[in-house]
Amino acid sequence: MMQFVPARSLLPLSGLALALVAAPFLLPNSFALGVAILAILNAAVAVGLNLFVGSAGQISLGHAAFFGIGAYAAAILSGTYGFNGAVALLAGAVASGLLAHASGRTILRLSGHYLAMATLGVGIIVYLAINQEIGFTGGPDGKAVPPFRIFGAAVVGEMQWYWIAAIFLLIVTWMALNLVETGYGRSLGAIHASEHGARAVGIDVAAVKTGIFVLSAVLASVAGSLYAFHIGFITPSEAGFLKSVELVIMIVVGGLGSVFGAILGALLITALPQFLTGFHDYEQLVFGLLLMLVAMALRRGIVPTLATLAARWAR
Amino acid sequence: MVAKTLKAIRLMADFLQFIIAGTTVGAVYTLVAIGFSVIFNATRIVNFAQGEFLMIGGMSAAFLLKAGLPLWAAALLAIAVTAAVGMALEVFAVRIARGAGILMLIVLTIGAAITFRGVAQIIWDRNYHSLPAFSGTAPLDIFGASIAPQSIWVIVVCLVVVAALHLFFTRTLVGKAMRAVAADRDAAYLCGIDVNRTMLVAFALAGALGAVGGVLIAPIALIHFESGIMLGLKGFAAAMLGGIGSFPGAIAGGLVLGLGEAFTAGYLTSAYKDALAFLVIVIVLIARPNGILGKSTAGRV
Amino acid sequence: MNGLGLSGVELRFGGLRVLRGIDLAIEASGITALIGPNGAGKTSLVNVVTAAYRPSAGKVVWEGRAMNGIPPHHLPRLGIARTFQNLEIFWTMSVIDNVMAAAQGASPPRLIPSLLKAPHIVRAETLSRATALVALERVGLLDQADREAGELSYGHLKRLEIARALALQPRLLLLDEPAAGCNPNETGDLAALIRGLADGGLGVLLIEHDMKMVMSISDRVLVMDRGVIIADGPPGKVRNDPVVVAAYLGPGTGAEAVADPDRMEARA
Repeated sequence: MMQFVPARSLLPLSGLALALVAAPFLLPNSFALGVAILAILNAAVAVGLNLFVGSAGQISLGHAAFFGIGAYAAAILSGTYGFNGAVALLAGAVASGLLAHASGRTILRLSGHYLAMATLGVGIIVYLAINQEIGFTGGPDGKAVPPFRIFGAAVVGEMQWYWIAAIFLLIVTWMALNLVETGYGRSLGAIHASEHGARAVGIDVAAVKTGIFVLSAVLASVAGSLYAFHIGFITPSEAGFLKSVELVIMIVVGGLGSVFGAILGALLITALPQFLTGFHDYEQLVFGLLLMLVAMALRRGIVPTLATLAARWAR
Repeated sequence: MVAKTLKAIRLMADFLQFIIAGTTVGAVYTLVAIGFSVIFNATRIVNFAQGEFLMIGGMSAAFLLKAGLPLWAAALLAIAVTAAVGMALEVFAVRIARGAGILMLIVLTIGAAITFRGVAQIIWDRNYHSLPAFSGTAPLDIFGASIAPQSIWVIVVCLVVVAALHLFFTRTLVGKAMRAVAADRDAAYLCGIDVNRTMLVAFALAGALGAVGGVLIAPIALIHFESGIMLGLKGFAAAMLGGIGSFPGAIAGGLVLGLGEAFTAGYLTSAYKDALAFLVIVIVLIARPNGILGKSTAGRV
Repeated sequence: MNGLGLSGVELRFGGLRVLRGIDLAIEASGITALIGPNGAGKTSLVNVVTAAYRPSAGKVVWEGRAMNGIPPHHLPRLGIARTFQNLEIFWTMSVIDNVMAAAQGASPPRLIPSLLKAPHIVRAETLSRATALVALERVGLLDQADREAGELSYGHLKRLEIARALALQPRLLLLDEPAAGCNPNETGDLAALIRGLADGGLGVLLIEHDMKMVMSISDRVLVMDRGVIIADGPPGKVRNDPVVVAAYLGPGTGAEAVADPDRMEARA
């Protein structure tokens, strides 16, 4: 009998903290640091999305919409209306949460390709609205975002943003591990495996699905706001279909249902195009081929595949 | 009185104009939606590279024409090329990934779509291209509405393709085998049907269907290497609207979507015509989870 | 009233009357078996009792409370647990996690405290582990606790579903064809297990095709045919009821053809 250890995630969590602390000293230049910030924010989104997709077995092809709502809440509330950045971030999170709750209650009854289509539809509606409401959003040309201020001092510079993003990711990872190790995570797995079975053991399937959808939306929104403040200029593509697809690719490549898989996947998929820019015209071709290779060769994603290999080796 | 009558005629002409525009676009969506359905029936895969088949068809026709081929030859060759691309996708990717989860397969076909876009910008370019209209551009006047000859081509060719597909699936052995696989894959396999071959045929057909769509719309809408994204999404939407896997559904879905867009753009706002299409789909999915013509049991496990 | 009561329960699908006015009272103690030929409406009755279907007319009362319109996931809270004819196991989870998912059933954890791993979440975790271990021990699966559910044998999977239901600490356990697909040995063990649970004070509603099992362990047998209850009584009485024999063997067979369990089974 394995003993129940409440903090079995302590080791990997400290490993992540260590890597995050060490990274800025190992990265060659501020460009690489910028990529790292983006990767970390994407990782936070991917961890949340993986709870909804990997753990609970649902599908979202429109998650970038929540990232975009967070980003534009930052740009509009803080830029156009002069609110404090933290207020803008919270407002974006609340708006994303409300949209996820309202749409989740209805579309999460669907499954498979139907759910894929419905989430895709909601995502595209948000994207098109951002494109069209030029008065608020600047439309396809994008919108500038003023710097984030804490007690009147602007947060500028890659290093400061790096630490903010890193702390955010650590908190998100800690919370996600708490969730998957306890009863709520078990409910997600139960829903994934059998909704009838889940109901029979007293799980409110609709409420749990909606809850985890809202959580993943709020995390995406906060990451979107931080991204907007960091990068200083955003375009509708942050909310677009390709960004949504990118997020799904991150968790699929890293490993569905694995918290650290989501982080690794986000890191790879964010960094890869930076390396591929060396290929110029061949960037898309190489990226597409790599995706197809992963889908054919690593069906369960990198981290679960490695974990199985390690377990077999240890045996 | 005369002014009123004139106004009524004007309104009627507008209405007719929107119907024609909507039907033209709807016919293209139908072709994409049927492409989705053909592959879905044979493999249970939603092929997110279906829109890229249109792009490949349109682009290769444009470049073959530039290379000096007559329009008809360029069109036919483009359709053959795209069918071959579809078959290659089946043999070198889908066959190998068989049995993977639904999300992995979505990633696979999205990877294929990105690959196709990557190849297109390398062997061709990133510019917009078009084809000349098949039979001139002088518009025909019908009850005050003007109809471009190319619109007639689109609608007629779409009808011919649907009729030909119907014959293929009801009269030929291969077509019947494909319907058997769609109905019950395992039973079909046990009856000795070559499931691999039906999958290959499905991808070839879907490629050819996409290319037909691409060649038809290239004279109306400009084509470039990213044209497939939105066309693919709209076609997927049309397929889901009618119930994926169903041909009458694909036609209904394509027409509803095309007409809906045309009327939204005409009477409400062109800014939100795309958004409204997706809003309608979300609402339809909530109200009728298997599409407007879908069976009430399938697809919702 | 204690136990489960059905009054005038009707279920119609279009023009088809699947349940035709069922009146029934089932004590929440002992084993009550529900049998009947295929298509008699047993599964429909189960679905009405477990709130999967809403009856077209009539009502279901449990411990004096009307159950019409309650969502299925509220049943465990009311003290009713069930198993499934076609297994609804959480395949990719470990055996103990399958049962723990149920052990937390009465008060499922909430999202935000779970994210923060609030102390009461950790306590609940320890408690549901203990509950789950007890349930696994009762069905004899304690040594399998850490295996993945998908690796278990068929007979063990049936027991796992029972353990999962027991972890809900029900007063009424509804077993939907527990012996289906089991070999004679597994069926025998299962019968002993179910009898043991009932002797421990748990009410069991057993829907089953295996006539030997039903006749050997039940305190009361209900026979359904074409949407109505046609016989009701102790196994010895029902076994020889000419109406039951006719329902199983077809009309005109006559009372002399005493309901031989094996033959009834073959018909069912």
